[in-house]
Amino acid sequence: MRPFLYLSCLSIAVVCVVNQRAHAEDPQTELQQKQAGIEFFENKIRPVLVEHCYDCHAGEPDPENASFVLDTRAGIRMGGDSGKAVVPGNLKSSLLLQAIEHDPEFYAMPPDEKLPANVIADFRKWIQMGAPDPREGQVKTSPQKKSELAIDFEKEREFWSFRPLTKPDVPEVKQSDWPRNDIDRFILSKLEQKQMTPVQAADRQTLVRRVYFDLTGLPPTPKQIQQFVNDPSPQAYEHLIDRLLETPQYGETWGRHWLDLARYADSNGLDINLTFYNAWRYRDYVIQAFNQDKPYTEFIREQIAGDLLPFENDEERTQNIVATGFLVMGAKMLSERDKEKLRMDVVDEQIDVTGRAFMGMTLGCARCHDHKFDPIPMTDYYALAGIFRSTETVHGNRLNNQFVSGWMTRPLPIKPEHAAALKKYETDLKTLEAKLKTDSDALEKLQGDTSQQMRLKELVGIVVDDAEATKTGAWKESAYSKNYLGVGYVHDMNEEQGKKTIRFTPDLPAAGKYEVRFAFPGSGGRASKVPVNIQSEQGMQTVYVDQTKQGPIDGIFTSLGSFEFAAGKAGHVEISNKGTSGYVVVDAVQFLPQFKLPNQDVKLAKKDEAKPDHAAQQNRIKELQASVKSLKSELANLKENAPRPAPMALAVGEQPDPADYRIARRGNIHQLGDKVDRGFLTIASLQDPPPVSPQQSGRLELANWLSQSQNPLTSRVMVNRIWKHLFGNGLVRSVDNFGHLGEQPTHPELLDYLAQRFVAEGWSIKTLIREIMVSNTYRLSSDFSAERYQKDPGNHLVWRMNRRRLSAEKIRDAVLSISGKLNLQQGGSSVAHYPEQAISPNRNKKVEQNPSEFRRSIYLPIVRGNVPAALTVFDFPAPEMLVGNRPTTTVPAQALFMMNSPFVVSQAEQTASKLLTDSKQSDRQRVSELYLACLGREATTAEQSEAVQYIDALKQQNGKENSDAKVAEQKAWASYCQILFASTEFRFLN
Amino acid sequence: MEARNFSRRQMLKSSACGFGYMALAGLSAEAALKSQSPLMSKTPHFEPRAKRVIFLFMHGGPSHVDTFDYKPRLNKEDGQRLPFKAAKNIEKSSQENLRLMKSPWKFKQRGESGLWISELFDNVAEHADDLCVINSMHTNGQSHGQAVMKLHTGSDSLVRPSVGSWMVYGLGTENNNLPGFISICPSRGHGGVRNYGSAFLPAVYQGTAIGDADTAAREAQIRFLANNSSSVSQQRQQLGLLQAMNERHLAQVQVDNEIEGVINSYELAFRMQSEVPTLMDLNSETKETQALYGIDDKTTENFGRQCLMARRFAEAGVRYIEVALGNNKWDQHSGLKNGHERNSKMVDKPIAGLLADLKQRGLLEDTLVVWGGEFGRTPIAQGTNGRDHNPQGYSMWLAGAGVKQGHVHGATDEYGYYATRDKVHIHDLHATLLHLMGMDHKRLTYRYAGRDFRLTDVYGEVVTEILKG
Repeated sequence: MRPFLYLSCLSIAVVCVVNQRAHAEDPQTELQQKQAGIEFFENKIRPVLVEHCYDCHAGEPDPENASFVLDTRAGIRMGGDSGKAVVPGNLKSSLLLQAIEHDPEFYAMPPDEKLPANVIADFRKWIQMGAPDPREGQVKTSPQKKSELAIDFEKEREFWSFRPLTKPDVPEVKQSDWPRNDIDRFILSKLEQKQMTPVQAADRQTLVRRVYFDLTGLPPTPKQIQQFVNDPSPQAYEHLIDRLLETPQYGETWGRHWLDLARYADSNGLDINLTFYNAWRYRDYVIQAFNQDKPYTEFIREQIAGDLLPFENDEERTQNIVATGFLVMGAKMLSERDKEKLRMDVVDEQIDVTGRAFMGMTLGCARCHDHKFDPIPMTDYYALAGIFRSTETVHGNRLNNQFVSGWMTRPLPIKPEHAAALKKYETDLKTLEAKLKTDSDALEKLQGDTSQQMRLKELVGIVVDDAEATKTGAWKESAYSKNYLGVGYVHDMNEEQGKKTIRFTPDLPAAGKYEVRFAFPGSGGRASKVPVNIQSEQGMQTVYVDQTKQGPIDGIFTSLGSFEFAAGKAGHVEISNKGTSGYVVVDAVQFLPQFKLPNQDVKLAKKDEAKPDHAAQQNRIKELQASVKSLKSELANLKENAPRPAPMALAVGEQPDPADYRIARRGNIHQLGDKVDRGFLTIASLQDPPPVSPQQSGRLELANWLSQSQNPLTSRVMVNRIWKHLFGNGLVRSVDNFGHLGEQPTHPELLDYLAQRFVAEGWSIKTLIREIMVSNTYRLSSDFSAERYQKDPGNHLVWRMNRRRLSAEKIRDAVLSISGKLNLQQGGSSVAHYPEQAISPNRNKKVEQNPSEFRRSIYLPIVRGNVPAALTVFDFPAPEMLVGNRPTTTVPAQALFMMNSPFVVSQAEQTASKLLTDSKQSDRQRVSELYLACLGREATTAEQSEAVQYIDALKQQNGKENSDAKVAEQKAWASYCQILFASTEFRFLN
Repeated sequence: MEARNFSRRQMLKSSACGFGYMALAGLSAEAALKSQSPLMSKTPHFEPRAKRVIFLFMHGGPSHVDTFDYKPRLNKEDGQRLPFKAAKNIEKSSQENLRLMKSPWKFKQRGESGLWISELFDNVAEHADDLCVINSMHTNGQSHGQAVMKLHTGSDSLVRPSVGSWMVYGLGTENNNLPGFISICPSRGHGGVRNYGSAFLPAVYQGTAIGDADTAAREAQIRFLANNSSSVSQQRQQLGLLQAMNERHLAQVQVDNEIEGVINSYELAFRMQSEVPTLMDLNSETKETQALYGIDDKTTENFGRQCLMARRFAEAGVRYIEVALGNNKWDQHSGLKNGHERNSKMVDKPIAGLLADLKQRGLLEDTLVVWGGEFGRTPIAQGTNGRDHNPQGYSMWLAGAGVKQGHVHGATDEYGYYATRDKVHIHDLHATLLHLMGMDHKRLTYRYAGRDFRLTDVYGEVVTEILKG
């Protein structure tokens, strides 16, 4: 340590410090103070800084890890992006102090271990002294990173996806008789550039299977195949497409593609997996939007800002509100206790899905820093954050837990009759409940605890309550402990031990053996050894009772033993407080006959009858009991016939105080920086974006901005998604990433051509699908060609149709359709039978049979963490995530599912039974029909023979084990059907 | 994925037997699989100290001040008001009148190392000299769901791949017939499948569940592994015809790696179907071994089975195995005395048995055992006989490959509330686990949605102090 080394070059700093402090009296003291200050720094502060801070905070500031340095005076005073580290004389403004004190709102430094309290005190003292600091030197500034440089948006707009949409010329092609439409010309032109030609067209059988699966998600039935194959019309193919586009199954198939982007689910998932009882309305909205061919821009506007759109009728209003479920669907960490963090995490998720679903832009990176690869500055992120933060998504509490948040649900327009019925119901309910409460309260007051009274009446044998007993000494009535019979019990006040007794004399109906039970509310603080004398035919016996515990029988009674009694009032039981320590409590004594009583009606000696003033009360009790009973049944009746609840939707709303937000440094919401005007992505704003209304969140403007035809991303991203679903690959293969890290389009002109067409045709998805499907490109076969394969193994140029894997839904729905079990019922909730917590963190009860068992897969309950295996096994995406391009994996779990799952096994059995119903068919005919149903083609003769041979062999084996030939046959066929379901030919689409 | 050139299968096909099932036992599938499987064994970043991990997850949050973090001052000042500021965000109703509560259990120094361990873990304490206890763990998430997901995935707010998925992604598997990542009887709540899910990593890296916390271990199975409707021999015939048809399909389309992959997957599945049940059949273990895990005792049977299965999977080359005492069992806001005692009785002996067994088989050399919950519990009383969640300081322990033995790292304050010395955040533990497995947590990345993701996000430091020299 070199405490005085820097003294000579100190003066300026220290003088300045001292001036601020205005304590200096004379130059001599001033110098002494100066020296003392430096000494203090060198002894107490510098070593700590060196040991605990310099590792990260020295040398050059590192904007990502340590934005400031502490190794110079200049550095420590300047601080980092949170503010000044040390302000001489000002403890409050010195952020360094907050950090070393591990302020939970700020950083905790040093991160490993908090400095000892005395060291922190030294820092306080030092700052109060004026933070004397001899260290010279400037803060080295690091060379600016790319991210810190201003983005040149004009230059960035040269990138293919940010460019304004072009109107490409349709290219000339050599093989001019091949193209059927312009799509083909774009494709062929590229192929010709590589001296390639497309393969031949697919045959009709292949084509019809392809078209059915692509448009309806289902295989064509044998009849439908034959219809198309034999249709003589030159327009047969176009007609088929037109017809299928109009089936409700089209929306169910294409709607599901959208739900992958909307991370659709029927429960929240994550920590508190609450059921989304209303999510299905959004799912049905999406299906309907596709079926109605809602213009895509309208579809966007409704999902982002439906609640803010004008409407003409209730139906429209309903759709508009339900559509905003898109923004609520995300998985939220509902138990996050830092509710501001939860709010901003939800905002982040909304920005992420909005960016990727509609624009193919990954915006999440810009939460913490400017995007490293794409022209997305942090300010753009926080411009959007302001919009979503002004939107209400998280709402209220759930599970009666202050730490568990809920989400917005909004009432939907309701029919006047329905509203009136609900209102009447609410009023009736309130009235009845109020009445019931009044009467039950009154009854309780009269009776004490009614349930105890009831129990007293139900007791068998002869019960003598304390009220009827003969007391010596003062016994105090009480009802403090709840385990008593009748209206209460008495106790000895824990006084005058040996002077109090209480005698129970039963009027016994017959002589014989009775078990005697003593009732008292036992608990701690009571006497542990209470003498009880039983006077019977056997004479006087004394039993001691421990009252510190509850009686072993029903928590009330203690058996004293069985004794012979004469009929009438000859015997008695007397409890005394002789020699006791602690309260002696007495409630009742029960005499249980150990023989059959001559008169079974005798149950108890009623204590109230004797007292005339109790008679009126007793009548009142009876009245009230009758009234409570009838009110209860009325109430149950009312509830049973309640009108169905008012329709609600998962939907967002506006915050009451819409406002711009601030940049959160490094994404830390407790470190807010400059305010950012609400707005949109600068890079995709080719003209001045609409200004955001200060009275609203800005979602409406965002929705309008997204759906502008000039937006270079919106149309390109969507047409690419459609292409992807029809070909297996997009023209841009990274369908969710149109940024620099995404892939380049293989056919940029075609992409722009399609985008232009899409816009020109009023953003009609059906029109675009039809246009693509009628092209010769779509009709190509998926045949292999060695020569072409060598040139373009990845089929980037589309020289053939890609062979595609059937999706999970298509496999499942096809199996059900072939087995004849498929239920085509549309829409509605799939999780109404789920508990509030779809999956509980503790033990789970089995949820009952799934009501959507045989419905189309889109209607299966998508409970996060419990997605049906038939889906997850075949790459159904995790419903928490946006997935525009499902991965296709090949894992043994898929094979196990096809080989062993009860679903496939039972559907194979179903299919077998169905095949065997027509007894006139030959086995070969059956095989052929099965082939047509599963694979879309007839079986060859060899295949027929193979099948029949297999089935016969199995039939024989089964026959040995099973005498029933029918069963043996059925089992053999089931085994064969399962083979077809498991076959690669079934699981792939040519 | 791009189709490759003419495949290995093409060449092998001519020599393979006509009926596919014959190839089940053959080399062709394995060879083809090895050449293209994303699961094939990969070279780590540097020499690994551990080959596999067994994570014993104590769901609900066992109390550190009642198990591995001895606090004499807490005992002395039992019932007194807090001498420190309570952490934020704890239950408001209980904010006033917070009192310290001593441990109802006695602590003793154990082994040569003299580690302090309470009587709740008397059996594990026999292995004190093998344990590396971290008493300065801290994490994010005051609630179970958050903390459980933080522990399993490194994120307390978003869906991210789990630790085991990252491991298999980074290292592949040692046994092609088995999943690389297995979770035995996982809880279904508090993140459920996400805690062994692969999130945006390819699905091949997701954990395979064996049963769940609602199922008894003796009934736990991999889904769809068993076929109840037909005999093995009939299924073999069925598969034979299926594969023959698939081969014909492949021959007809000439080249298609995906079809080939599916054909291989049937073969692999069939092998799994015979191999896994054998592996899970604990009856093949000696009586002594079963007793070592407490399988002969009703209290310890369930967790004992889970632990023994874990050892068998470890032996068979599974990379990451999680064993859970699930369904939030350690969450004693009240009934601490009985609850913790019940739990420790269920797990103490089986865990000790696992350690002993691994050791005697030489497996502890390259197997890392990790024990812990999503957080600890407060030294503060909740009610008269309970403790609240304590994410700001708690204990976990490691044993086996590459970590110091009989060692204690870090400390909480004198009461066990805040981690104070040599703090280890859960990100640091993750970084350390990857390090032990031969991977640099900063280099193990996966690009998704325009970003390179890591298990440790932008955090995490390897805790070098606990590594064996």
